[in-house]
Amino acid sequence: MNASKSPEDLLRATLRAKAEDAHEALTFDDVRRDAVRRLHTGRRATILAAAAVVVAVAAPTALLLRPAGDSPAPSPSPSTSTTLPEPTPTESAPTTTEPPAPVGTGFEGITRGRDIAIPWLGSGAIHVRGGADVPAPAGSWEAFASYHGGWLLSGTGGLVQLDGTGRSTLVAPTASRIAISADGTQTAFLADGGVHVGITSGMGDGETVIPVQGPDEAGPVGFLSSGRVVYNGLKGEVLVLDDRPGSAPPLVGLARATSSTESGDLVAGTTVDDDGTAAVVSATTGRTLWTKAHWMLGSFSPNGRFLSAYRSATGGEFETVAILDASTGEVVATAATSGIRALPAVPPTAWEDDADLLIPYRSGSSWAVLRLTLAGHLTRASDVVESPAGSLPFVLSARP
Amino acid sequence: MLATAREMTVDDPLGARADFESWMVARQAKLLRTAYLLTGDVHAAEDLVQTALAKLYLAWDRVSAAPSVDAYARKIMVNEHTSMWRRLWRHREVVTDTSSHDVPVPGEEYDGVGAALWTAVRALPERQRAVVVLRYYEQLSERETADALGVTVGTVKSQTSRALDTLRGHLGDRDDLTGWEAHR
Repeated sequence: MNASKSPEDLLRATLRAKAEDAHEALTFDDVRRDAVRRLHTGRRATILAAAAVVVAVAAPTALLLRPAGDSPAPSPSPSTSTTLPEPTPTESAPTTTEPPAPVGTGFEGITRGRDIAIPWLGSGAIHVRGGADVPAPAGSWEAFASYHGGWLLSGTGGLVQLDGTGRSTLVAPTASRIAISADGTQTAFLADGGVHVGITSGMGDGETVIPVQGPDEAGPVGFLSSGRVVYNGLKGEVLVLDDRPGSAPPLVGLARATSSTESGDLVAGTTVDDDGTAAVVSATTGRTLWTKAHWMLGSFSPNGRFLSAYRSATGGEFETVAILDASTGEVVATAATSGIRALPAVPPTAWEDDADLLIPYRSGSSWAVLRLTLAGHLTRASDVVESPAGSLPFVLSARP
Repeated sequence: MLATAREMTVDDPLGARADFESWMVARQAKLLRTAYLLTGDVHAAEDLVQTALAKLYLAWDRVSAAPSVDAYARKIMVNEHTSMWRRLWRHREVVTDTSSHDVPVPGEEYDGVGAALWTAVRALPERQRAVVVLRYYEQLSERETADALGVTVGTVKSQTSRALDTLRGHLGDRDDLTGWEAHR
């Protein structure tokens, strides 16, 4: 019987038959309740998102977007930055042999280091070292950043802007990534069909909106020199936006970007037509600097020299958090976590400074933030807290 | 839409949506079947559809006038599925349907070969599985599939080719599936 069918016919028949297993019905009230939760308290937290806040470097004086062609030379970098040379492209950077896992089955044995130096969100408040806590609205928040004297929070419930006292001043139902320039002067987010680019420390003025089309998952991921914004577009393209209408050239070689840096105008992401190969591409030349199979790239360090990254040897779950050399893809340091039960495979990491990567880490129902240094040292940067499955007790601001 | 927080109320943030409810009643069964094929899990499919419908509800003012609400809803769902997979990868909150995924459905259309094929489909990477579901269950064209996934037609072609190669690899040596190899 099957021999008489083409494989495609058999595939169609199989899918048709199997689809009949799904027969449960939702009610309108189910959907409406979900929608209300998304607006006010976030969708039920059975699944956590971990959208990383993106850090990039931007020219400190570039308060508004300028045409991409205005500044062919790289913009001045912060004093701590290093302009990256462009090495010869390689098919795949060598993978350093991973050192033994420094983490045991829990937090025992991990030395308590200094407290988290960047703002973090947890327990219903935004915590700033040396400052007063700011109450945060209830919700499943995945990313946040300071903005216009207050805060931007983004999560499954949408995007919320708070003023300095924690009062909500703006709500957009669409969650967006929040892209921040590493010098802290610029922030970009997607709302109401446009990429909003604003002065971080402003008080409501100086915001530019670039109209874009894109699904909820699209949005800005970081900044390049001259205030350009790297944006994941609707058609599986990575676009470079500026404030000129219609000028958004696609970046060849990437299907999706995860971060960018003004230092060398590099963009990190996932390659075209591949489910698990990471790559770093030069936005200036369009050249692919390196690729790395079974890795996902996170954010650049503030000086652009390093990248947080996550490895999956099997192409499935990620088991390693690492710091890579941004120019070569070589592993600089790693917090090998393979074999740890109930590990949150890819926690939303954040750079604390140019040399320290913060990693929210779970062991069972216990959570803490770990600090991985370029030298590979791992310490604990927070107390250990208990949190039920499905909740994320530490959301880190990427602001260094 | 941007709005001040004060403009929204908890009970019904967007007002009565009788037209949305009518649309939902008519379409949710089909969405649920597609969601099940995407996720391979009844409960995950319900969660996916509910999430997609909630997003659609929030955007109903803009979406209801679109030429194809169905296509827009499908797109939301597929994108959400991709997002869910990323989240699942990250947090190992992997859902597993233990109730039905390996249970053969009697009948000509789904026998032992079909069960093996379904198992192989479930093992595909999520993007390849999405392409397979949209092309072979939803019967979408390559262009429509590309639009739904937010990728290029070339990506759809390559992902389809990879998926079929993978399925052939799983099932090509079965005696009762002789036609598979013949169609390579």
